[in-house]
Amino acid sequence: MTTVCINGISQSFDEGTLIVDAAKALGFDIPTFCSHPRLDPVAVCRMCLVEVEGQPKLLPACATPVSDGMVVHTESDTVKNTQESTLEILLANHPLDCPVCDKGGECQLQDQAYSYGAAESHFDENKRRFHEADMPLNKVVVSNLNRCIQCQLCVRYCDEVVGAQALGAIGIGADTTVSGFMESLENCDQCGNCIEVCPVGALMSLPYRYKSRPWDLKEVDTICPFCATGCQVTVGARDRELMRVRSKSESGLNREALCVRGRFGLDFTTQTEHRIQQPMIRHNGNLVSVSWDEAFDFIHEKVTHINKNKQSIGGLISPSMTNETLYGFQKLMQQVFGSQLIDSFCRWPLGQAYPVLGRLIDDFYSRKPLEDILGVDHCIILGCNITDENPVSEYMVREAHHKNNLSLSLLTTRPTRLDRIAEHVQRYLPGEEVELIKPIFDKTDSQKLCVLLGTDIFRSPRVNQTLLTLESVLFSLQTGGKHVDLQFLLDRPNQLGAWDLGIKNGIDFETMLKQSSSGDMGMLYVVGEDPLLSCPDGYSVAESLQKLSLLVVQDSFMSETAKVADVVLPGFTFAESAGTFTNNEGRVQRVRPIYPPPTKTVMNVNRADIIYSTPGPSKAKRDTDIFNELSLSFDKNLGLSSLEVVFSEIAKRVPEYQDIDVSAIDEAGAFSKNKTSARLALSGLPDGPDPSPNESKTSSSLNQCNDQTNTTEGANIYAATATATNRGIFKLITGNCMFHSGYLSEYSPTLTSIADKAYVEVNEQDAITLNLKDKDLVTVSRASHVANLQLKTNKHFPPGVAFIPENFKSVQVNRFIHSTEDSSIIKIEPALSQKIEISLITQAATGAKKNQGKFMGGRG
Amino acid sequence: MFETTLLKNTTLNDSHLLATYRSNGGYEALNNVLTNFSPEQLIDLVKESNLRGRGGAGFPTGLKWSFVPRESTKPKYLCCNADESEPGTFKDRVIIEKDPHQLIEGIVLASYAIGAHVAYIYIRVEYSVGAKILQRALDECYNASLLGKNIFGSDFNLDITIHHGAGAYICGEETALLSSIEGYRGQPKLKPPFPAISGLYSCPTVINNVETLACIPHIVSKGAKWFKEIGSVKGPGPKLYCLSGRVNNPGTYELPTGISLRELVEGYGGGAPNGKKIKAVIPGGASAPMFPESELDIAMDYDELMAAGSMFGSAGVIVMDEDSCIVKATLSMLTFFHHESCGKCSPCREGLTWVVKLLHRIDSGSGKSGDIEELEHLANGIFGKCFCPLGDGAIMALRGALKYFREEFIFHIDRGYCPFHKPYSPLMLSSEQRYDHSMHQWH
Amino acid sequence: MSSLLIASSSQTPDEYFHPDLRDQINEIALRYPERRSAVMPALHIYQERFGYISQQSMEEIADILDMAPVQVYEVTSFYHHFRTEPVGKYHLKICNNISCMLMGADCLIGHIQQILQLKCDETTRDGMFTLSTAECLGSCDTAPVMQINNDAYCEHLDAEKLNKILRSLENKIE
Repeated sequence: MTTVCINGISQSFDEGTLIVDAAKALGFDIPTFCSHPRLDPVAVCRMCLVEVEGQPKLLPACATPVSDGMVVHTESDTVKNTQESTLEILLANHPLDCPVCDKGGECQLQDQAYSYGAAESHFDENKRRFHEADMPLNKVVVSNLNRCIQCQLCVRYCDEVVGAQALGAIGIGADTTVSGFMESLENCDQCGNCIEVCPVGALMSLPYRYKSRPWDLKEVDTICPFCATGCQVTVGARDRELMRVRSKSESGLNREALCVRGRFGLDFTTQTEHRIQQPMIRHNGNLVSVSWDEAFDFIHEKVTHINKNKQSIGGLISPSMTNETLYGFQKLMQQVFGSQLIDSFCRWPLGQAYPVLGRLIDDFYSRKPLEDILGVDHCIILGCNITDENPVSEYMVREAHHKNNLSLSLLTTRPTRLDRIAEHVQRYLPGEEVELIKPIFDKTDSQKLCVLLGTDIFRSPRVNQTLLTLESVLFSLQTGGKHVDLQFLLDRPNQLGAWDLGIKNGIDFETMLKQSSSGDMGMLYVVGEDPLLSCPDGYSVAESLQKLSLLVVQDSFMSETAKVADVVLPGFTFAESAGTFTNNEGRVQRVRPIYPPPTKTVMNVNRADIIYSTPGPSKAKRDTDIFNELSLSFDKNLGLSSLEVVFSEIAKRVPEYQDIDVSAIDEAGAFSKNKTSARLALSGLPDGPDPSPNESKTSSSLNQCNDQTNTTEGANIYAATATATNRGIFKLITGNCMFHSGYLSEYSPTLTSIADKAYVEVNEQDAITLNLKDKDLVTVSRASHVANLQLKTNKHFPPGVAFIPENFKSVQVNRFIHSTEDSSIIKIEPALSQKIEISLITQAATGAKKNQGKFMGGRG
Repeated sequence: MFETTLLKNTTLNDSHLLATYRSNGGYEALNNVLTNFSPEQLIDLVKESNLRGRGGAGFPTGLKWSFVPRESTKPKYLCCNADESEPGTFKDRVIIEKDPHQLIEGIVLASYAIGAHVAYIYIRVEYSVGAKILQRALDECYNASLLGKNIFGSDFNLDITIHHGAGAYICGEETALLSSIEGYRGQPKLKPPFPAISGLYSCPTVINNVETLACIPHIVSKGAKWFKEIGSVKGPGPKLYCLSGRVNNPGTYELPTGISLRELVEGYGGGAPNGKKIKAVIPGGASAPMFPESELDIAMDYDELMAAGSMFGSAGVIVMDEDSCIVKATLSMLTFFHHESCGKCSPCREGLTWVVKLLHRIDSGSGKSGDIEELEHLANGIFGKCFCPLGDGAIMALRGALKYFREEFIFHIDRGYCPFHKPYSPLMLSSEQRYDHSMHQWH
Repeated sequence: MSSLLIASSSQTPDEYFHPDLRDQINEIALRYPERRSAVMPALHIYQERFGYISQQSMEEIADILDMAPVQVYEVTSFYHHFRTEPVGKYHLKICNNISCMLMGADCLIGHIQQILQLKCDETTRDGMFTLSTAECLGSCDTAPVMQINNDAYCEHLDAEKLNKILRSLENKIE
């Protein structure tokens, strides 16, 4: 502790506390432009200069730590004069175009000139002008360099936090500008964090341009729905128009940072023309609009004809739904349809792995802030291209590495941006992770480590073995006295919530499909999921669904599965829903409605073979209300009346959430608790399976692990596959790309304008071998499924491997994948036709209304 | 009697060759140190000599070396600052081109003292001739096992690499020089930490000027006492002075520190050409405030010049005669500083832009009353507020001019023209009119 | 003088990928603990080969040294010596800092401008001469001073000497 005296007040502070922070703690605000809590101090704007007794010069408060006995003056005449002159100097060349500047009203230069500046300027020369018209640097960032005050926050944030290294300071001296390579940011992450940190109107959001004044916005705090990092977003809207998305620096794990999806992708919720607006039932092969009562009656009638002794009823719900919807759906399935067959993860079959997944969560999962988790010595990231899948979590890992020397090991299928700072990097093909997990743990002897487990692990048919191996490794580390924290890096915003609420105790969707194809399943109720696009073996999914006597799809947007459904029920989008998400940290956070549901109907896109909407008011409802009303038509009452009621039921029945009062959840969220610890606290509660792994299980999985380790093929796997590429044969891996997540982001006009082309990414050398280069059009094929995609080359990509993002509907990447294969084999060759396959959605979004040929799996 | 030391070899034929250097006692100091001195002893010797840095700041060299933490397991680096760019300064170039081995010996000695096994010479790109000579000298040293592994059979290893600058005055600032070698924009870094603790690649680093390093072999061979007794007590030693501007005998002169500015300019320099009167003299490169003729009886000494409101700087002495326009000279210097401002901090970047605009309009005859006060107001807003010394240096130059020659600025503003301006004449400077170069030590 | 037409003999940077330069840069990078340090040497090498630093040159250097292209651009644009546009075959750089200014550099600049019919930072139409002012070249005792390309200085300049120099360069071209 060091004791300092600031403006006459003495107080002790921790060693290393900066003067600016110490002063703030004592109630003295020191103005700054270039200082940012997440960035190393640079002390370049000179706004924060203060007097320190005994020092010949004024010192920058943002970069000078307090020392014992230091006497500081932050409000002396010298300091005030300096602030005045620094502002005058900064304003000399700053244009006085505040009335037309988007930053007006929330501009730091404006605010500080008001608080600390002189009344008038002596400057009577011409101001420097770099350019006349503002310059768009890409689809989302527009720059006005005349306003730039060279604080370099954008450049430093892009480098130190985002790691994109896309922005730079160009030129020297008074001619310095901030820009991208050759004055373009076309190839950057487009995350817009540079816009957020810009203290003036030098970097601005193109989608928000000239749209509103900050004080005219109605802002709502909610949670980003694009991955399970769970970033807090503050959405500014007017009526049903989305103006902009930002994030507050003082709350949320993301502390102001967002990725491109969070900042620019929420406009998918405004795309009313793709919404399901009325309940529909299939009549004479077509979907026709009906009233809610007619729809419920239709379901009731069909269900009564299902012989429940012979045929089962299954439910599939998206892990992008709120906890309340997930809970309500389970209640509906159990109490109305008498079914326990519910799954919430249909992209890869997890069924066999649910027991070990449950044990991993109960025994090893750390439900605490990621920032705390990253406070260990070593971090192991397993199976996640964290850069693309969970960008903001990645920012935090980078920061922990930078600030706390956190060392990293990566076991990933694709190159990530953390590779260059990681101690160990191991590439693998899906399936190989089983053998590689133990070795990657063996490489570190850190006493305190954390494991971040990514979605790729769950994308493999060997997920069960992988998790068993991981369990045994974690078990032995723990018994060896090491500190291990485990957290997931999941891609759907409420996946952990879905598992917590008991989904992992059901059966998996693959089993349901098998039942369906053998005629053993009578009805399937799908909420917010699109198995026709997401489930492996795309063709057979369609066949299985056709065998059902009743397929109910409840969704906000017209999904591919909805198009083949018997009943389609219009639900709310994320932007209209209230509820909670549980993020990767186990933090339960409030999802708040951004705007009311649409009242007016916009005509849906008409298709020759499907009419799925007639003009009329939108009849979309809250998902839990649909469950409730449906239950009434079955003479049951689920009682899902309000968010508070539903959540208090959850808190009663789900041990992880037992202490949480939903109405008390503030911006910090509420942390759920692990079942084991919850059980300890509530010892004596009757129900629930034994969460601890029994010993025989553990030892058997250990044996299994050892067996497999002995047969590890190791590094030569690439050499083997590399030769295969000569014939254009690649092993396929899939996942989310940086600009999209799931299937809804394709509805976002902004994200689609950034990334509208589905692509296939391969190693640069592989491409050269095939006489192909970056951006070439290629044909990707497997058996009868063919897609024309743009080629993306990457010199860091593992040879013999191709990546196709899951996010582009038109590609139907699930038709390349078989659920039993570690990695599917695809062929890449120069394009047969020169047309990039564009998804129906994109085309519709861009205004083209051409019929794009036949749909998949129509049930006409 | 003062004996030429640093420039001793420069008049010899082939003074840049190893053979010449060695036949005049070169590298014996190094041999002596590697055989008989511990690094600590060498540092003590340099401390004892009171050698102060010759780059401009005048920091005691031995003390600087002693800040390098010996116990640190990190590699240590020595950087030779050969980015000589201060207007009016050309002394290091003489050493580099005429006696490169003297510099190399100094570098090896300094590296030995601080425990560095890698040294970089940061040389400005315009010194292409010097860089070639220096590279040849380095090659000679490698061939003669004076560089590389086991120098003079000792267990001391050193590699020296020349790093070429690319035209940025700011890289002469030591931390900017480090940024530049690291492959970043040549901008100064935040201090603390100081380079001796965390410098190049965040490792302990010493940055020394060419002339400073060239002094080291002589201190070793002739002793600290010899050095200490030359010139000023607080900043002793032989010193290179650069004389330029409107002076009869421009050139590089080696003289003791503490010599009077008048003696230097009027005695050695021979006064202004064509019998003109001297109007003003800048004692230490463009950032050192100028003195009027009446103030020339001052010792060229770190502390005395500081006390008189100027500085020893790089000892680049620039002479202005009665025909020189102080406004134009000030504009020229400030334009230079503005052009070379790295843009990192606001007062220097934006403030100097403004200053230059004001000076321009005064110089061009469109100055307004109040412009001088505005300049002073701006100077107050910039001075002492900048990130590195560049901005302060610029303001010092401006303040010096305003302090002694305010009336010239007023004249320009009041009358709207420059009294010293001569219409353009392509043959204004005919060779006959030019000064006599016979007195040059080197050119 | 400006009517002279000479086909540029230097290679254009359009030829993709330069393995010889890559090897050279990789070797230089060994002299530094961090590869990034070789960025200035690399830029010197590319500028020497092509006369200026093109976008493609920066991309290649970024690739060789594993830097982001914008980082190479940042460095390139910071240093006055690196040019992102081609210059004339003879780049005349006249110092106009204080000592040279005192010795008549402004007159010399005016003189060249008149002879070559161009302003500062312009290139003659035949691509032979570019005129720039330089910051102090460190040869103030021989002021006024000019550097042509990166060669030895032309010292003690006056109009007569300048004429002679320009004439000899012209003859070299012929």
